[in-house]
Amino acid sequence: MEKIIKIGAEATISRTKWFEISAISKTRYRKNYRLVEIDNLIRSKRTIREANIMNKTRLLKIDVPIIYFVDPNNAEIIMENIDGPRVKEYLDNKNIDCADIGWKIGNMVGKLHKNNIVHGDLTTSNMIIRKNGNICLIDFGLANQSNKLEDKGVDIRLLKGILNSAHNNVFKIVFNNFLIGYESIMKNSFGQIINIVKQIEMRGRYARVD
Amino acid sequence: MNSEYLCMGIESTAHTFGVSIMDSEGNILSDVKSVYKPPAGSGIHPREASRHHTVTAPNLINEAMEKAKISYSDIDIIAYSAGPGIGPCLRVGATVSRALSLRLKKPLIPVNHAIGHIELACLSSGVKDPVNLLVSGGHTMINSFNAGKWRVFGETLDLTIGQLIDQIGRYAGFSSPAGAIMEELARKSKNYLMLPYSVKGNDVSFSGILTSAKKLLDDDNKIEDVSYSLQETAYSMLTEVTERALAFLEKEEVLISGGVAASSRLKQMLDNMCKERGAKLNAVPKKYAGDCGAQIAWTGILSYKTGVEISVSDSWVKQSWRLDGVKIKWRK
Repeated sequence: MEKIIKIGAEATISRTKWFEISAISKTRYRKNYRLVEIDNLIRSKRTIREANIMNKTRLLKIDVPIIYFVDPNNAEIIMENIDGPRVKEYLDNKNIDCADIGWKIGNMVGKLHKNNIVHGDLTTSNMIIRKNGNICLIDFGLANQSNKLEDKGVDIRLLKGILNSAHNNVFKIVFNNFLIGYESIMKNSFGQIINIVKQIEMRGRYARVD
Repeated sequence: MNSEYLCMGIESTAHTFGVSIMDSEGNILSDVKSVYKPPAGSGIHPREASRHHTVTAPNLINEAMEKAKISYSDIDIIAYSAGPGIGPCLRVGATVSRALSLRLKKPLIPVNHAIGHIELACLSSGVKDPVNLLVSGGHTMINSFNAGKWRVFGETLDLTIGQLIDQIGRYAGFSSPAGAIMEELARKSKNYLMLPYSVKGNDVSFSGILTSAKKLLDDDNKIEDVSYSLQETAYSMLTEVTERALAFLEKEEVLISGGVAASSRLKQMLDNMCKERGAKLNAVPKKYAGDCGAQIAWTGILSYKTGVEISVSDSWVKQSWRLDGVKIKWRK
């Protein structure tokens, strides 16, 4: 029995069973607005890459769901079911330690980047908080392997943008602690990447002061 | 007239000089414009565009007054587009507005052009709290209102969609803006040529499409096929990032505004996406999609209601003025 939990932007998430275990099925259904030529390529490419990079990330001891099964033809991944609130809902709750959350995200993203993995969609809806307080990172559909500082910078800029636009009241505390956590892993390359983030921001339309 | 006051809005950020008279109930009494057309194959020349504005301004103002059937003493406020845009063009609109403000002794209101696009689109489509896709020659961004500002949830990392279309149009020998002719050509093709699809989180990047599409033209591919492939790729990317913002924000209304909102293929894709997830697409009417005086007049009215005003001696224009830097008091 499959039960749809969420219709995301590019995939439908439903609860299912993998043998006897409760599991999640993530299926990228066809998008009718896109030409079939574009659509097929994107769906199968992202599905394969997602599974591949999730496995690599897991080997780094970063918390990601375990993958049970991948079907590239139907663009489906069956994976571990993670229970818990997303960071997005968590940050809206007044009684939590935002500094700690920020630091943990920074530490996690630092480990990814240090190992040349960029997530590509670091939003607060792609991080689930487990009962033990660990943050589990999900949705690697736009992830990539890259050693380019630019790609890592784009990753950070996206998270910064989401914190600033969707969680404006806790933006400073979360992002400042993110940077501390990130620096603790990135050490020497930290300064370079932060500079790139600034450059990317300045490239934004009308961002430059005359 | 039942309305509290009348506003004259003057738009002058890029190729368009526009004048509109609106009342504070949101009725457009008149909206006239003249668009500077650069020669085929070239883009906007700032000096030539500003000269066009200087020459056309007096007649357009008279025309707007005549169409609205009002006299100068009926006008209560003057709003002008203060940025972002091309410096020489902005200065023409600002100078005209300052002169009117001094002569009529009426308050002067600076308006952010991008917010003008969004607010006029909200007014004309009746949406309250949309995810907005602003697509034009100057902007490509996804906005949503949160905590006192129109926030940016995603945007282009390099070119705007309007620039992409115009630059390819120009490369093929057309005059800017080339959106309409490119869309017409695209309708004649069903032959998709692969172009780079670049979505980075909630952001898009179009520079790869520009390079590849130019190369396709160099290799003697038909302009119809290139236009078709460019549209299909770029508009799919825009639809995808709009859907990403919609899913993240858990909202159900999409609004499309800006000059590229005139594209029927883009609206078709967005509508298709919205229907599949039970959301609703609202589009600014084609007539008010491009730059126009009404976007400035209406935002001027909203601003004035919440206390925004500037003295002539302190008034300014800014070529770079991002919309997420503007505090908005008329929305909750």
